[in-house]
Amino acid sequence: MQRIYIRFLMMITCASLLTLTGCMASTRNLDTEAETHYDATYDFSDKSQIVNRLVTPLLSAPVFPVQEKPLLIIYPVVNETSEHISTGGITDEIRMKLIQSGRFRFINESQRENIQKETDYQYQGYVDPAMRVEQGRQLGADYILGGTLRSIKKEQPRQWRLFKKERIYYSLDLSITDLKTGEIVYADQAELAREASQPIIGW
Amino acid sequence: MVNFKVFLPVFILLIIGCSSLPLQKARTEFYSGDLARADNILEGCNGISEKDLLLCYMENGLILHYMGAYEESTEVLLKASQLIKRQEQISISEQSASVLINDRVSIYKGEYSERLWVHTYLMINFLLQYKYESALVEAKQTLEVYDKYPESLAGDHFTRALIALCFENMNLPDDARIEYKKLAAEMGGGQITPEPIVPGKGELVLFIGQGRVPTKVSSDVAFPPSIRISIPRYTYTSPAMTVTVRSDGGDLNPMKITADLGKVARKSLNDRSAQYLTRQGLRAGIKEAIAQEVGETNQVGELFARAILFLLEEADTRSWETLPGGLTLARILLDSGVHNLEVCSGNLRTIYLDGIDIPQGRRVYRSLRF
Repeated sequence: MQRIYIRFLMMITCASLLTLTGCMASTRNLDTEAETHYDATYDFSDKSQIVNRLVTPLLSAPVFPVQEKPLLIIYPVVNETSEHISTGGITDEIRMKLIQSGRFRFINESQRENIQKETDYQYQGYVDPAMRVEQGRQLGADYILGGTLRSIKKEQPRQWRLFKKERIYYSLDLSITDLKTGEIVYADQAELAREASQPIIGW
Repeated sequence: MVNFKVFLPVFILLIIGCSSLPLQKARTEFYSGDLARADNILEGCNGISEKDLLLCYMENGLILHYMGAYEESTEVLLKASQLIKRQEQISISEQSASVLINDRVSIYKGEYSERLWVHTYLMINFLLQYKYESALVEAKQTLEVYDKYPESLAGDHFTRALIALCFENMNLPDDARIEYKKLAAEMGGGQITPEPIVPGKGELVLFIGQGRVPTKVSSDVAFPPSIRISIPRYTYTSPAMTVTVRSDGGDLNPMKITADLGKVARKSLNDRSAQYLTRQGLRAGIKEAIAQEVGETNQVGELFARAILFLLEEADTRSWETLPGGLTLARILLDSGVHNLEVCSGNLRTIYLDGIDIPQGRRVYRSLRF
């Protein structure tokens, strides 16, 4: 009886120690450039990979002469995947890298309404006329930059197994269209594919 | 000397949590018309036990939807969608508990039909907010659910028509055509081709919910000496009434696609019958073994154990109860401008849509519930 009692106590102690170890919270910073994936779906390291893959060739594309600084306007990348992905992050990063390169200029499409609102306010009589912004002086874009993000997902068929695998392929097609002629003057694509497996049975 | 095995059934009884009272109260308030109170009772599902969390998200999401809070409803239903994905893993501890006690102690993972309808209402929410890209994402996720359980969900024509609409909105006519073809096949042949929006016209799209989805009840069978088999089934409800849309007293004759949610739910549950019957059989064997083990040393204890184990055998009758009994997708082409419409459910109840502005070349969406 005493042996059973001691064994029972030891089991409870071990279980408690295991639980306590599992319950300790921890935090750490991650390197945004390093590739870290929990599963096959899109995450922040995919965004960096896609942007770098698209921006580097664009900077040396011969269609845009080095001495000119073409004026671009970005329209949002269309999400045709089966995940809720904020493509604004991709376009913002592409725009930032292109501006920082000094080779391109951009129209801020997303601020047009605010610009109009502010200008209207300035002309309502509240602002010193000498300080009002001159209307009709906005720049016109030469090119439209847009794209589409697509994915193809495949799951392992149902069968007797301990792990479930899935594969996801992503592609971002980028294009630059001449606003005057409607011609696509530049097109490129970034792809990535990943396979992840997860156990079907857990505790 | 005390035989601790006698108290095993009592111990089992004690570890079972109480059924979720807030959910029941919220449903009562929902059907009595006080949606705000129903939402307050659920309090964003804080304090709901993990085993009923998915059910809470589903109910709360739908209550918010019919309150017109589409953004908040989307947030909650997205949590439900993510929870469904996380729950795909089979938990040994949970399965062990349900094999020993009953299916109500396990985490509720939703029927196949309910998992589909989370995405259905997400699509509707995104369309009502004119977020066509997000609606398309949900449409693709819905197709994944259809692919997993094709036979169980084939009767849900409404969701299929909604998927096609999402493809149309994103200018993907080939994908839309494929979905209409599948829909026509599921509906028994023919062709389904919505009218295109022509110059001078716009389209009004109505998502009409009618009645109440049937609830689950248990059907019990007892075998000697004390074996009880308790199986869940859906009650039968009358099919949804015909919807008519009128303007200036005349019928507009919209394109209508209707789904009987009760029929789809019943099929979905029946297709799962092998799963729960196998577990029932296993559980009956284990309970009989426990009772006999107790009876070896204590005959009164055996009677006590048998009584408790008999009473513990309850079917899992949890289900998403705020769903309508039928869903109709109605698409009406109207001249651009302001319109006053009447939507009637079986000539008994009428909802008036006054002052609906239909812009040229665009779609306007409304969600109604009778």
